[in-house]
Amino acid sequence: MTIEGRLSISMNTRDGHQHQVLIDSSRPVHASRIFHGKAVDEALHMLPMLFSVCATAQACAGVRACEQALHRCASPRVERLRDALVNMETVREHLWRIMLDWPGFLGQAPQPQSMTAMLALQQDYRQAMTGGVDAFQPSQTQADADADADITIPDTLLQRLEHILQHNVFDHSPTSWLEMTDLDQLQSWATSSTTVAAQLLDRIMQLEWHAIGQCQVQALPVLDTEQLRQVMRNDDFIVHPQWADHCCETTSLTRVDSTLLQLLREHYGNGLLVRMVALLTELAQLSSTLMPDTIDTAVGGSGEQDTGIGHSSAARGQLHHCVQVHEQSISSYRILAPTEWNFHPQGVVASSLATLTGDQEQIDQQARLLINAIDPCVDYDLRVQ
Amino acid sequence: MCLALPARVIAIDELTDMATVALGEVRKKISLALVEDVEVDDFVLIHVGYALNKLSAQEAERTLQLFAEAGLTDAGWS
Repeated sequence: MTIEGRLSISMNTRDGHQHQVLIDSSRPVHASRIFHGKAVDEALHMLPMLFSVCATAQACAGVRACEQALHRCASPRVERLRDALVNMETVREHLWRIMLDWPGFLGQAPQPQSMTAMLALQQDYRQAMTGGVDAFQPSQTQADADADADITIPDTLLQRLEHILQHNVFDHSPTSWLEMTDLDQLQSWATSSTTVAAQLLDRIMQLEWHAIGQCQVQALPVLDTEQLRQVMRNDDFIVHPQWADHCCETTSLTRVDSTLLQLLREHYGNGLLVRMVALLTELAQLSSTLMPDTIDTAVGGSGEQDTGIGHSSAARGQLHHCVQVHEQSISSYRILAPTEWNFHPQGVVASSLATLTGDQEQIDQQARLLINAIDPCVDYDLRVQ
Repeated sequence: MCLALPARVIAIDELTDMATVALGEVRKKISLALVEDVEVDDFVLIHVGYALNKLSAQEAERTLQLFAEAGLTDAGWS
């Protein structure tokens, strides 16, 4: 059952030294062609049904691309609402990694109870934010008509989120976790706390794996809409994207910052520990910015052409949709997802894994931790030989 | 793309909270830990080994039709 596609990653060791990394993807990157010939509203309705894992981020990038192609513009308040819903989806996805994936690295069973609570919270949050209105239909519909209405989120929802994160991840309130500024504090937290996140960071520090996978890859910049409009016509670009002839990374690590992260970057570059702390930092930061009024939304791009570019900041990185509309129906629909940047055959994962050394079992463990930290969204096979 | 697949539940093991789902001819074991009140013949959306949520038969059929239109499955997989 590989309809959703898989990544096949193989590492050919050369006497314990740097090895060749091959990444092959069967992800259905052209599935969005299904929208060709469909009306805009119909395509936007179908979008989250098809891409249901990051449905909110997909719907957000999709509606922004369609609005631009139709020369429409949603109000800033609607845009903030959309970003808030995407942020909540990112919180859910990060929590998924921590509660369902990270225990496996410690030989423990996944902890689905907290995810169940998170899924219910996400549903309640969406209902409270939108009142059941679809915020991801083009402006001049109900969503925009309600743009000036006050959005109030019951405090209990934010308290529920804080409770989930405090008890399952940080062992403190997310805000106080963010107050850590040096490695000693991080080490002390990892040693004294009993959450899976703390235990895994403690294990990584005990093994002195702080910097493993460190490599030189530039962060994906904010992309120029006009340039993107041109290059997204190219099928090869969608499959193996590069920007200015460089592979780029787009993950939590490339979009969050803190005093602690700056310090860790100085010592360990983009190594494993830094990646994991970046994910935790983003989780803590997002939990305090889920009120739409706290979000600074910037949606760029002019709408002078019939081809629109829409962007959203999905859990795994920057997501772009490129939509061409002709007489109210879609003539071209292309999606550029973060996994294609990060798992490019010469991208950050390939470069990172190529630096690993040691025996086969250790390389396998380290590679799986790094792949999980960069997060491919689909299943993968890893072969170390 | 981040696809999650609708699949029909054909058996449930209550002891392990696991289910066997069918998608066309393919059978797969998945965890039901994230959803409640799932019964045999329900449709669930599955992703990397977990059922994410329940779907109505109509929603599942419509979504599978989309997958088929996109060339990802054959028609009539449910």
